[in-house]
Amino acid sequence: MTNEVLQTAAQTLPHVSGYVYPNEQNVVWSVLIVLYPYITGLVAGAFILASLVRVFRVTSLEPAYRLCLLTSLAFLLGAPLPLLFHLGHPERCYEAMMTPHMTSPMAMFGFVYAWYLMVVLLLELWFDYRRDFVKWGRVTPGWKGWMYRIFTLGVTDLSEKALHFDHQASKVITVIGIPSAILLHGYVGFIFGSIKANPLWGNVLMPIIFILSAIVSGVALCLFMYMVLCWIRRQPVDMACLDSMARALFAALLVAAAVEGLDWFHRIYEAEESIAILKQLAVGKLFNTLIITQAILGALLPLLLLGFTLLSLTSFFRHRFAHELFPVVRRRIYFLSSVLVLIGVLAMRWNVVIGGQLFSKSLRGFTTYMMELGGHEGWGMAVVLLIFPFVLLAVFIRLFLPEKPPAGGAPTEQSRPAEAAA
Amino acid sequence: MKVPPQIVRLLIVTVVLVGSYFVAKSLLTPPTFGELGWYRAAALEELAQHKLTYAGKQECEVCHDDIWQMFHAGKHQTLSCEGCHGPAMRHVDDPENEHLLKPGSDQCLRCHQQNPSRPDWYTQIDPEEHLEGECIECHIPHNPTEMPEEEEASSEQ
Ligand code: HEC
Ligand code: HEC
Ligand code: HEC
Ligand code: HEC
Repeated sequence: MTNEVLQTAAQTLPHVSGYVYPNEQNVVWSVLIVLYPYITGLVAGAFILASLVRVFRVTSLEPAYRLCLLTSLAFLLGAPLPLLFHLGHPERCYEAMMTPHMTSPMAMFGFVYAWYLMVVLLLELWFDYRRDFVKWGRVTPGWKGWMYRIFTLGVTDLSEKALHFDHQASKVITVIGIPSAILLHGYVGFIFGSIKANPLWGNVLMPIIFILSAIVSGVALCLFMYMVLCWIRRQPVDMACLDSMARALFAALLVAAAVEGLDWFHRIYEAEESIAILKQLAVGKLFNTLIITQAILGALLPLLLLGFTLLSLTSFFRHRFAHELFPVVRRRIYFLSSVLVLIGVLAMRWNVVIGGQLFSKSLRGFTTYMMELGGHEGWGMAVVLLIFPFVLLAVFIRLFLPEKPPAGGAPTEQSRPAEAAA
Repeated sequence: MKVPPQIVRLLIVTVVLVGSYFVAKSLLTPPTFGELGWYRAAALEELAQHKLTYAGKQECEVCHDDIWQMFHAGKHQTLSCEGCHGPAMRHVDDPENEHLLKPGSDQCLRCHQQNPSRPDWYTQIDPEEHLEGECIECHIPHNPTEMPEEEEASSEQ
């Protein structure tokens, strides 16, 4: 008899199989909610890569330092858009800020975001750029000049002492910034992890998995952007910098993949009542995005590629084979790996956000996510929102990472005055 | 020690930003917000302005006391009349012109169809196996354990 009812249900609702409660038939956290954690993850990851330069003194990354920060900024400015378009009434979004409520992590989002934007990113960029703004402001005509001059906030002191202070301050901010970046993204994971009614989400490892995958994706994005930028500008790539980024990517990916594997291992061993449906989900509805894209293409393949390439840089390998892998080959491999990782992490967000809504809380049935083409939460919107940060980044690069410093210009950016002084 | 100029400027900017936040907050928070709880107290009044659509069960007794009597003797006594007949405020105001729905078998099945998520005490039937025909041919909707005696009995009203 139960079967007949299930059949009747299946006849009326072609996108549902098994037993699904009425309020679970439609996936309400759409693809835009997939994009949001993806983009904030890129923000946090790019910032943490930049912080390696300042706090951990990985000097080989210096050529990409500003690019990392600008990437982080561009994506941070793009991050709230998916949330905004997901709202039925985006014009009311400010109300969350006007009537803050401490008990809801979603209501606090605005403040976490503002903190990260104002206190961390903009401040760090300001201290790093102030010297250049002053110099560019003096030689650039027109609105650009005005813009640079306004960005100095009127602090035009370029004495050794002032520049040294800038440098110290930016270090302090980076130190504040690392936990902030982790907060910004860990709390996205926290929102999912604290939904205890959902066996795929409700998991203490969730914030950690989110942070780790964020770092992975951020590093991959910076590597990708750096290579693309060099290619567009026909500039030679700094191989030492690239190798360092690849190393960081490999290490981060290794840890992230291990922890995510551990998560699944733990679930399978623990074998709670939900594991049956989660397994079905993994090998069924999520097979393409989880097993193929996230695990194999997004983690295993890049790990192997990067692993062997980095192995060729070790002295052991060089002694044996008299040569490391040629830079051309290495570049190709790094580029391919970064693209794979970027796609893999996007798939991971999809698996968490959409996957978590595909199975019923009865643990007895599935629904299907039907994505529209147009519409305010459809494919088109998702693509636009994903491209938008890149457009913004292109503008930032034009304005703040000029190929040649403005005429009459500042000395090459990368020489740190404070370090010279020290 | 002299405070670096950077700090001075940043402090000014911070004060301006935080200040304008509080100005915006005081201007944009709805006036009655928080008086009673985490919402606009005025919202209650606005909601009270809405026109009623449901009359409530008590209203029906005045004109349909025969059905009312029967209804409260039967198994359906806990149900609301409007649960089957739909919102009836307009009907109560003007019964001659505003007619109500006479629900069909699909309405019965809404509650009685076999469904594993329903508790066991709830009487459920499988429409395929249960007897053929419209439910009200064999069940008086207002007293479902009784069979309708004859056709006139139900069309009397
Ligand atoms: C279980 C659903 C259900 C509930 C609850 C219900 N009714 Fe009905 N009612 C029906 C159905 C079905 C008919 C149509 C009967 C028919 O066509 O013979 C009907 C018909 C009527 C009629 C028309 C009488 C007639 O013979 O044509 C009146 C009046 C009425 N109901 C009043 C009420 C009142 C008053 C209540 C609440 C005390 C109530 N109903 C509760 C299902 C219900
Ligand atoms: C003011 C008296 C009055 C009240 C109160 C009243 N009714 Fe009626 N109702 C009537 C009259 C008169 C008819 C017959 C109308 C006709 O046949 O034109 C009727 C008919 C009906 C019918 C048959 C379908 C129709 O619209 O003709 C239903 C069902 C019904 N009433 C339900 C209800 C319910 C449920 C309530 C309580 C919310 C209710 N009535 C309250 C006077 C009333
Ligand atoms: C709003 C939900 C609802 C609707 C609609 C409804 N019922 Fe019921 N019915 C109940 C409830 C509640 C009971 C009492 C609890 C029980 O016995 O399951 C009941 C009891 C019954 C019973 C008695 C079962 C027993 O205990 O022997 C019958 C027969 C019945 N309904 C038939 C019908 C018919 C025929 C219709 C359509 C005209 C109908 N019901 C529409 C909720 C509903
Ligand atoms: C041909 C007459 C007939 C028709 C049509 C009919 N029933 Fe019944 N129904 C009965 C009889 C007789 C009983 C009591 C004997 C029994 O329990 O099988 C009954 C019992 C019930 C019961 C109580 C079952 C229980 O286990 O106590 C419910 C609920 C019910 N019917 C709902 C409906 C619904 C809903 C419809 C319309 C889809 C419907 N009936 C159509 C004759 C009918």
